[in-house]
Amino acid sequence: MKRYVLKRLGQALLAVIGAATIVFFIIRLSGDPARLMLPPEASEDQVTALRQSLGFDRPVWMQYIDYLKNLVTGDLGNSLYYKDSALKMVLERMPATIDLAVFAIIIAVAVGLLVGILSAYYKNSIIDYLLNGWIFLTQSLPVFWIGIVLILIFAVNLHWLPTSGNRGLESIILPALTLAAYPIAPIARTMRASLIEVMEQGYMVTSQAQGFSKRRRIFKRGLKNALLPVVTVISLEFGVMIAGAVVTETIFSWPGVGQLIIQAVSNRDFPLVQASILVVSILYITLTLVTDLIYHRIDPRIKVR
Amino acid sequence: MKKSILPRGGAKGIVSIGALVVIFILTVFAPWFAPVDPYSQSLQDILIPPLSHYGNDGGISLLGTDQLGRDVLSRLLYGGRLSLWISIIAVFVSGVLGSAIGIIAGYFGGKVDALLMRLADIQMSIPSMLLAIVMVAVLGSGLTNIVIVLAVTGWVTFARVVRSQVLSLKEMEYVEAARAMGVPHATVMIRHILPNTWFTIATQAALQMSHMILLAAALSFLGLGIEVSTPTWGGMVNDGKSYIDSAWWLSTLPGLAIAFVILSINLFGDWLRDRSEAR
Repeated sequence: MKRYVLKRLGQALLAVIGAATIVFFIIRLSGDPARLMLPPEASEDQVTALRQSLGFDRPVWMQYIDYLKNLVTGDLGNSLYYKDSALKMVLERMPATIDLAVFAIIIAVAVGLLVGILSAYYKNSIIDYLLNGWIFLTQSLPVFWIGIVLILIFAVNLHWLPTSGNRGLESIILPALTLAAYPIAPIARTMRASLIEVMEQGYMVTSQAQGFSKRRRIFKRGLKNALLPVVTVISLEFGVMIAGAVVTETIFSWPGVGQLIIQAVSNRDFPLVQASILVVSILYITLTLVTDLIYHRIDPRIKVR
Repeated sequence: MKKSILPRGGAKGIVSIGALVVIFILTVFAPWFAPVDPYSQSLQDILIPPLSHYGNDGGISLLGTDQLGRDVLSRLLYGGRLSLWISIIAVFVSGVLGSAIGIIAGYFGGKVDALLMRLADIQMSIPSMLLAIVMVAVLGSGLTNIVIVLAVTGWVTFARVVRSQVLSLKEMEYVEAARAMGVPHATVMIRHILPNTWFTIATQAALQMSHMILLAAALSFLGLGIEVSTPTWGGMVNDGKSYIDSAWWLSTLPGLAIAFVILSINLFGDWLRDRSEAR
């Protein structure tokens, strides 16, 4: 157990350093990051000044070492546009993204589990086929399109909900539904497959022989044993959601990290872009790590790859 | 046994291949099918709803016009051509790259394998959407850059799937026999291992294709794709967003086109997977 945790922690740390390295080099892909961070009409003097103030004139390996050092102390540089600590700006936007993702995952889990349980319960019946077809369809719809259609129906035509912004509970409903649309499918699929597998296990067959009704067997014993793989999928999807919120936040002008990234890109504010991507990646890596550790605690047979 | 209301067995293959052929013909020969030039603007025909008259000769616009009076159907067909091309090339590049890495990692094993797969893990720790956004931001938009960005985000999946198959293939007797006879590593990989991974690669390519189309569309939707005036499906949805209260067709129709293509590709991929499982 201890060995597993240590090894897994090491992997996560390596992933964080790796992600930071990738972002570091991508920013320098263009050859001249100072030029990249200024508008096209900027003068040569301005470019030189920025190059010196951000240290781009030094050897790359020195920049890289300093970058990693600063990273350890939590210094991700300052936003060029807002002249404020990039990390602070990202963290200020994080709660809005987390709110949205939590709302969305609640919807996705509720719908996904319901669909999964129903289609496992009515396995190979018309209900199962219909639900399966619906799940297949949701995976084919682009997220941004779902958002726009929701706006068209509930905001433009029915006037039930606002189209954008962050003004209380009613403005989170449409973005949360949009963000929830995609993870419903993997959750439902895993739930169905896992429950069907559990139902065929020896102890479940025994409880059938003992005369327990199908419903009782599923809810009293089946679900408890079938949920483990589903929990993993849910927590992985939650990580994907925080990253995928970029599109949803843009559609609904939701003031989260995703919107911040897009704004920073259009302002050429690369220190801010870099900080946002690093923070989201670290969050994503941590979520995966926690999932693995919890999974391992419940089922120690899992080995490190 | 997975079942759904969708066509099953052979029918699944026929329906999906049929749909893909139709999409292919419509978009590749877009200039023949498009009623007018997708770039031609007409100020008197702005935001005309689908199925209504337009122009001086009173012709019917099947899918309406946009805020600059451009024909939506024509833009959809040309946009489809571009969107599909980008995704096909991106899948091809990432498929070649990923499969090569997967074969090398699986075949040699040991340190090479550990290094390549760790690299894949590290790349996966940055969500692909964010990786794509930052790369486009740095490289700039434009066709070639979008293809590069998509290919870079896509190789990992190919590498992982191909590697795991190579791991079992290299234990086969014919591979050992070839090695024992002194056949060089490169030849073994290309002549004896690669042909047996074709099916896996093809299935993965079909699945990746829909990912690429969605990712490319999301990038153009965020305004990070090709230049704004060039029709792309994601860009059309984005353009239409500002007119959502007055012209519903601008955003919804390109989205439906994407959905139809993705649905057909996913169905095709599903059919391929069924066949590979049956083998």
